[in-house]
This record gives sequence, C-alpha cells and structure tokens, in this order.
Amino acid sequence: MTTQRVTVTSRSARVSVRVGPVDGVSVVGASAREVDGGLEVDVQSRAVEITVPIDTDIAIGVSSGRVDCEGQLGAVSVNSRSGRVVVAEAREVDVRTTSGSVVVGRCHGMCRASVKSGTIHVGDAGTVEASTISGRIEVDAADVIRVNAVSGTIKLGSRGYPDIVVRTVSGSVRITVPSGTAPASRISALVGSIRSDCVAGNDGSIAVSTTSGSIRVAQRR
Amino acid sequence: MNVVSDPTTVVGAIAFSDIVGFTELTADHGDDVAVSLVDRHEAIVSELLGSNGRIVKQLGDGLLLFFSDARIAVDTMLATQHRADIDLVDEIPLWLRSGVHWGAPRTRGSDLIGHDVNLASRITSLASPGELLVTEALVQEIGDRGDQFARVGPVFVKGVTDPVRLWRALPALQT
Repeated sequence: MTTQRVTVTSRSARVSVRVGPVDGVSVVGASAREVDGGLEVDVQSRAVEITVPIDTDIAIGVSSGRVDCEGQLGAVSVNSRSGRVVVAEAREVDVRTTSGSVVVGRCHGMCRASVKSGTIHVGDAGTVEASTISGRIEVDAADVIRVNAVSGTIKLGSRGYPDIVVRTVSGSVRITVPSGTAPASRISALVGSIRSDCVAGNDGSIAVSTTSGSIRVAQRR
Repeated sequence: MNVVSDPTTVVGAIAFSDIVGFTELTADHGDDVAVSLVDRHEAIVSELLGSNGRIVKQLGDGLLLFFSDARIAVDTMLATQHRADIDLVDEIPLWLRSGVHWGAPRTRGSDLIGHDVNLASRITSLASPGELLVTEALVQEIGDRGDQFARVGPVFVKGVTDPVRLWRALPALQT
C-alpha cells in the first residue's frame, strides 16, 4: 500500500507508530483499508503496530490507551481522553487530551497541545501553542510560544531571542531565556509576585499576564 | 429555520459556546465574577447574532445556539471568540471554546433536543481556549474544506459509539 496519510481509531488499544525504511504502510494487529486516498486503521485488538515511511501524516483517535510515535513523521494529530501520548519527531503536531500526558520530542513547525488536567512537555519546537485548565506545561526550547492556562504550572524556555506570550488566571509561570538576553517585557500580575532577572531591551519579547499567579523570568546559567 | 417533513424536526447548525475554566474561575474568584462572566458572554453573543441565528437557551456557563446557515454559524462563533479574547471581565480573561455540528434536532417548544445536540455539546468540550471545532457534517454542508478548516482527526466522545471526525475552523474567517 502506498499512502501518505494514515488515520487510526481505537477505543483502548496501545497504538505504536514507527518510521521504517518502507515504501508503504505496514499494519500489525488491526485491519486497514484505503479510503479517499488515505489509509484507515480500525483497531479492535489490544495493541497495534504501524510502520510508515518517513514524513507520513497520521491522525489518531483513541478513547484511552498509550500512543507512541517514533521516527520522523509529517503532520501528527492525536486526540485522546486519557493515556500517555508520545511523539518523538514530527513536522507538525496537534495533540489534545483530557487527563493524559503529552510528550513531544521535536516538532519542526507548529506544535499545538491541549490538556485539561494532565501534563504537556515539548522538547524542541518552532512554534508552540499550548493550553491547560489546571495542568502543567513545560517547553524546553522554542522560537515562538503562546500559552493560555486557567491555573497550573508553566515552565518555558526560549532557544534564542524569546517570542513568548503567556496568559494565566492563577498558577505559576517561569520563563528562562539565554544568558545575556534583554527582551522587551510586558509582565503584569493583578495580585501576585513578579520577579525578572532580565534588563529591558529589544532582544525579542516576553508578555505575561496573570490575575493572581506568580511570574519569574530568569536567565539560563 | 428550515422545517423538514416532520414538523418537530429542524435542520441546521447546532452551536455551543462555553466559558473555559468556569468552575475553577468561580472557585477562585467568587460568584460575582462568575455572574459577570456569564453576563458578558451572553452580551457578546447577542450583539453578534444576526437574524439567521438564535440563542436556544443558557446552560450554566454555556449557550446553545441554532443557525439555519452553516457558514453564518461558523462566522458568528469565530467572531464571538475573537471579541471575547480581547475582553476582560473584572480583570479575568473571558476565554471561550465552541463547537458546531450540522444536524436535525427535534424541537420542544423553543428548545432543541436529540443526538445532534448532544454531539455538538461533546465536541465543544474538546476545544481549546479560543478554538472552534466542527464536525464533518458541518464542513460538508459548507462544502469547502481547504482554506477554512484544518483536519483535527477522529475523536471518541462520551455516549457516541463511532469516532467523530473533527475539523478546526481557521481564524482567517474572523470578521
């Protein structure tokens, strides 16, 4: 089979996607059929292993169950109610889960992630758009970061000059920028604490607003 | 409103608009703030609603709306989110999440009831702050996917056996 878009649906199976030196898609543990130019995999078993060519786009919908995506994929979207979602590397990522955890190793372009009460960890990305109601969001390094959080814990790092906008109602926000960076900062807390190690300048921008949270901007040592 | 052969059934866009984190906001900031957020939410929606749509009812922090035109439903919900996104109520941000489904609910007086209403509600709960999710039925009704919607993929929602294919309305539609 030759396809560049794979759709996977599963109620509770463990879904493993791997990039291999193959021309087509290989599915072990589920049935697959060609639909509208793509491949649809309906998983009824407890686990499925899917091997795809590099840069394949994949959309996964699971009710619960772990999702593991290894290798360099194209556009990856995962929707789950619970369970752990891991995407090692992709061109684009869009993951939403209610109470699960999300780990994205590397995303070359837009990385969207949304959890209600779980955790999001992004290692390296071009742009991150993340949101949570009461969970935890961590971004090690990204060019552009946009975060909305009602409460929860936010820890963000910029790769170079920061381009960061964070809006929270409560909770804590910690941003780390490269040593010596002097960003233009707009930081406001109606009630709460603000502490910044950075002097004002034009090395990128940081905008953080919170109603009653704490904000800390630090330089990487 | 398009009335089909069964006089108790209407065909159109069923939309929900919810305040993100309303329970947490109420717990942290009190009932007065909660009332202000709900009032502002309803005021924005009412202001942007044209003659094609109506508020069916208020459900706590959310609104159920109905439109006879799918495109107008999407435009209105995006405009509502855009307006709310730049708003503050007592220094609290008003973040909305929305969902729209094209279906044929039953009427009960001015109320709407049925599977399609439940489905619209379920998909709304999956949306991120400022996001509008729509079903494939809605996208097909509009008939143009490419530059207006981005594929989200299949999701499982409570009470629905089969996965639901969702799309995200792109903010370029904002007016």
